Amino acid sequence: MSAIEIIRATELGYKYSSADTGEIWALRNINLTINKGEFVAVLGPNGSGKSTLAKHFNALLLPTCGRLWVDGLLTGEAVNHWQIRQTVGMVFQNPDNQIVATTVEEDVAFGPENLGIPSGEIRRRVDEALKLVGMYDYRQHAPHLLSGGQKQRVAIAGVLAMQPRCLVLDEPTAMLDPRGRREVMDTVRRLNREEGITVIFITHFMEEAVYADRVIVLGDGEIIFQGTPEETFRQSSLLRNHGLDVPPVAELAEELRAAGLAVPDSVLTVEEMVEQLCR
Amino acid sequence: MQIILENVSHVYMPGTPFEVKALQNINLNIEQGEYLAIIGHTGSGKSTLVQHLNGLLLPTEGRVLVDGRDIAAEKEGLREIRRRVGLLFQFPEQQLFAETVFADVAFGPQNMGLPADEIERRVHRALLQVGLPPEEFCDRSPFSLSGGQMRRVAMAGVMAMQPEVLILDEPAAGLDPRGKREMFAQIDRLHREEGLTVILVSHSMEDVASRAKHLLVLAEGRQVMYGTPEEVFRDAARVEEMGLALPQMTLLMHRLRQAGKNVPLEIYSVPDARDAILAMLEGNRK
Repeated sequence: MSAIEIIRATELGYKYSSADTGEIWALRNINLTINKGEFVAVLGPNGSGKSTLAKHFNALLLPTCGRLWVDGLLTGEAVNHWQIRQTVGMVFQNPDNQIVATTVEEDVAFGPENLGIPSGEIRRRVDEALKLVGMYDYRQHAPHLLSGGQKQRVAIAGVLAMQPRCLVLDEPTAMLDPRGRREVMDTVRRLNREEGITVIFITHFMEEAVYADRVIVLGDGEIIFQGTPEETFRQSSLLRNHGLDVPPVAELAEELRAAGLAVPDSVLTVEEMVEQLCR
Repeated sequence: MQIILENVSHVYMPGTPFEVKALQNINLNIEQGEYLAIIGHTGSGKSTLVQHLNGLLLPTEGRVLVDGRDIAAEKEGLREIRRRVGLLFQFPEQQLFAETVFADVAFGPQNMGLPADEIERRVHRALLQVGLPPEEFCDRSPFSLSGGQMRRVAMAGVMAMQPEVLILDEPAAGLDPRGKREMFAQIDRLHREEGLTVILVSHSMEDVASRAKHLLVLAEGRQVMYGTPEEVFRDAARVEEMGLALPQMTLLMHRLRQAGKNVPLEIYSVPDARDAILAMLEGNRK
């Protein structure tokens, strides 16, 4: 594993059994590397293995076969788990399930307190984490009175207070309204750009993936495509065959190309399309 | 059936420190065959509003009239109104409980005391209506199904009551693009072919703009915009100001117009946007 990599999986497979359907391979032959500082979006339909893969990144699940390294440490070795979970922080879909305390700052302090960190250092980390997600002014508020986007940002702050180098977000915007989605997306992009935190962002929303450096597409437990957003959304028939889609602007670009216009693949957002058409 | 809201307000926990004015002065006329989308942020009062449409909540002020009758006065009739106005909550798959799909969908009709053959007929019909072939799904455990299928089982449970009005609270939340497309296709079909009145609750303009006849935009319990999609999006600046994203194609048209291009603004879908842009470029050439 080279020094620029933070995650590497080789021939990773994960099998589980259920009473109804017998044995199922939720992940098969996953080979991937994620570099330090990268912003990677993971796309895939329901049941494609996205969450199962996410849980491997901080050793909540262990591979049935193959291997996964986090910053050079094998997740298969129990002795590494403590270190791996400090390196990779997880944020889940439903903010209500992740909030434990009665004020925002206590909630964010929960993780560092459990690490046995001295209280002055906890104070510093909590303040810093809340500032990073733009929720410092709400530190005395009761979490349950916040909006969905605010709650999710508190959940992210709770993870940041553990000072992870990699943030894995499993559909963090699925339950949020458009404003909440934008708040979370802006926060995550800033953490990646300004703080250098590696981001693995799992989502159903094709238009959120356009901000990533790289997109990994899962289908039936396998990686079916990897590439830049432009390369990925050029694969519209592959994506559609797997129950996914391309962002509306990419679909429009495709239709315009079919009608004989020269619209480049790099046009994925409304702004880019306006610029293209107003040349 | 027709549902009319007259100056409806709803206050949670009135007279306590926790008092919340969830709805203020809502006026709305929902005709038979309507396809209405109620749009707003979390906390804007959408869910409170729809619970007034079948008497789960009663207004603290104002009146809800169903076919001209005030539902607050209907002690006996409320059960009948709830049968005629079906409400599918958010993430309804969390409410599935029975051992088989059949038993789950049959729960409502059984409580109505219907004979066994009528229950069976209704369950089969409801499963067909949501696109789950009964012979394949009846005996399966709902918990062995995919998320999208489970949601449709929950929807079949509502359809088995044979409602005239179907209210769906965020029916596509959490579904992948295909699941979402299929869910909306089912709903559109029920509206078109069975004449059901449909009320969609959503925070996504993208999902509802192309299908609803009318849009009602709520903010902080107030009705801030109401009209056809054309009428509502004419005031695009206001929609954006409220943090409700315009459909991407509509936004594109507004941006092009701002850049001095001659394009129509009433565009919600990719094919319509393509035609508008091709016409725009054609016009440039002349």
